[in-house]
Amino acid sequence: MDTFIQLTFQGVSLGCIYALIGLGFVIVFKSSGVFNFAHPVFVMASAYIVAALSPFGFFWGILTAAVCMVAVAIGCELFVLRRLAGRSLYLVIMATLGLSVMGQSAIAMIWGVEAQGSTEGPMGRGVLEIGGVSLPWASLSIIAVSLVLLAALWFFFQRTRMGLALRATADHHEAAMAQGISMRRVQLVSWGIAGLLAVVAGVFLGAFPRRVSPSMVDTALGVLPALVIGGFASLVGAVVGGVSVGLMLVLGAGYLTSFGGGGLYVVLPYVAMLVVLAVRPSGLFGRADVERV
Amino acid sequence: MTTQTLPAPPVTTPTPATRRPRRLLTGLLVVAMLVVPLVTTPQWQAIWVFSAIAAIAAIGLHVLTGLAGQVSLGHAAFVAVGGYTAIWLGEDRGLPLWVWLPAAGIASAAVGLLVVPFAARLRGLYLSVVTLAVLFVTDYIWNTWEGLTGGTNGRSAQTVQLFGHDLFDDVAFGPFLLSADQQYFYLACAVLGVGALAAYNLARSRPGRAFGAIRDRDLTASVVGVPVARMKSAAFAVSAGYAGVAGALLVGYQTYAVPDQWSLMLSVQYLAMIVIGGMGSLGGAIAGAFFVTAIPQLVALLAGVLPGISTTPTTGGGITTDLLANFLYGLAVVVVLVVEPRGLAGLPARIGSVLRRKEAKA
Repeated sequence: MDTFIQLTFQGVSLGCIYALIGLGFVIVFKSSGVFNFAHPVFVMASAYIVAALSPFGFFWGILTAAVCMVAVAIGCELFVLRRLAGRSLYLVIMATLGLSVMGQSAIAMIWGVEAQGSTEGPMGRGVLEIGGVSLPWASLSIIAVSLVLLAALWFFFQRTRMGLALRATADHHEAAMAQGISMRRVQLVSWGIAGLLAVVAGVFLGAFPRRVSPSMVDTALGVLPALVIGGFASLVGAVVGGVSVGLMLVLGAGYLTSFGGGGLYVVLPYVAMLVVLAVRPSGLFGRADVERV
Repeated sequence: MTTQTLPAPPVTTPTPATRRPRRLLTGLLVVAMLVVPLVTTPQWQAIWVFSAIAAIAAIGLHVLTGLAGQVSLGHAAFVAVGGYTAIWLGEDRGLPLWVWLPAAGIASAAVGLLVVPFAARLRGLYLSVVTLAVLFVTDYIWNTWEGLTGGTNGRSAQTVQLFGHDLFDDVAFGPFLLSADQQYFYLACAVLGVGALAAYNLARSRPGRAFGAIRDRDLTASVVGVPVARMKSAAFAVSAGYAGVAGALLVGYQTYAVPDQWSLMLSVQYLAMIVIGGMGSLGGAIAGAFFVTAIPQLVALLAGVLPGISTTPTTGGGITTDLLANFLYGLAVVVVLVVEPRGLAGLPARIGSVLRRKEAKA
């Protein structure tokens, strides 16, 4: 029972990271119709920046990463993806994959391919013991900060003018424009938010397995099944999908060690995703039409 | 529904006046392709072989994405299926090339049909994620099924023999002494030629036209009587078949196969080939394959001229040829998409229009 509680806790904290990454994908997708395969690279780049600058102060690192990532995200939107508006989904995906390849090789040129230090900062490596269960402080902070961030995002989307504009845009581009909403501003804001979310997710992802390495891109891409399970166009779906994928990965890793060579947990989210696709193709929280026309 | 919103068909029907120079150009390029490996250095010969093999896989993706408009991020998985089929039949069972090469294509096409229950129902983004799932699930299989793949360390591949002659032994052919790379290149080119011809004819057949209709608008296609689900399945099977043949030739040339090589990066490379070459163009897919495969070697040449590029791969960072090559091919994809969506295939037309403008001025 202790193991189960422990694993569930770890799963939820990994799930929170996936939820943050997933929100970065969904917010951009809803506002500009771009499915940004470069987002995992944003996540990894912020982790590298924070890890490199943490000797000078953890929060300076986060500040620098935040400025850089917002600039990079907005730059990608302005100089590449805005020019591809109205082109087929496939070409847009290809452009973000090209950006992803560029970002990955740029990072490897700057920092090499070996693992760097962790980004735990003040979260530390301490452990909180409750009964027989040991809960790392890092995981506790991940869950706490994620909850605060989700609440802030909810407030932004439901209670502010800009949030309303973003929701209107997501519902119907033309109708939103007819109401005088500036599409350019909405898209810049949503890419900026995605950049910020990438920084938080990057810091957490670098603190959770305690190292920053090129394989973070693959870890972050693991959010895709979460998005399908939740539905690409749903913010709630991204959070629910993210947490369930986190749980599947950690519980699977804990309990399925004796089946299929011990690596079976890696494919669990994809199997769950295929089941969801077969039963309810628009995802648990999605609407039927998410096609970009 | 206005006709303006539909994308222009990328395959323009050539008029007799434009057909002759185009045929001449194609002929010249084919001859150049066959002669160049005889006169270039061994490093470049290896690049030519890899390019020709990659071109076969790229044609498969061209059929799926360029003609039928279906997105696939899992092409590397089908290349891997072909590769391991060839290893199993050629190395473990000791069967000849005539068996393992077609079998690799058929096995891969069969695995491609597994995607169909999803592919027939899904479009666009969801389809791309499903194909990505195929890639990750097969990656897990390759790493776990040690009896076939040798686990993470990989294993040796089948030897490639034609008429009892091992292609890796030098052979005298008239005045030429053909090296292993040259022989392998001609084998790959022969397969590439057959594959390209088949794809060229496929685009002009009834299924080919159906693919085009589905690409432009699958709803419209179904209204005019195209069996959409069956045609999508066919496109996936054909594309996977090409990938499988390419995989068999690839592992044969490498003489080994490791599970890590069938990564998402490989899939993205194949996609980059058809994007850089020009979406929907067969010649473009082949040209793109040669271009993307040759970038590392081009960067190595550049390293001799420009300071600051190190030619030895390191783990500690710095601008190495490998990383710079990767960066440049990512950049090439983005630039092509933003600046010249027709890709390499659009270059002759662009040069032609510039020349005509000059003529008109003179």
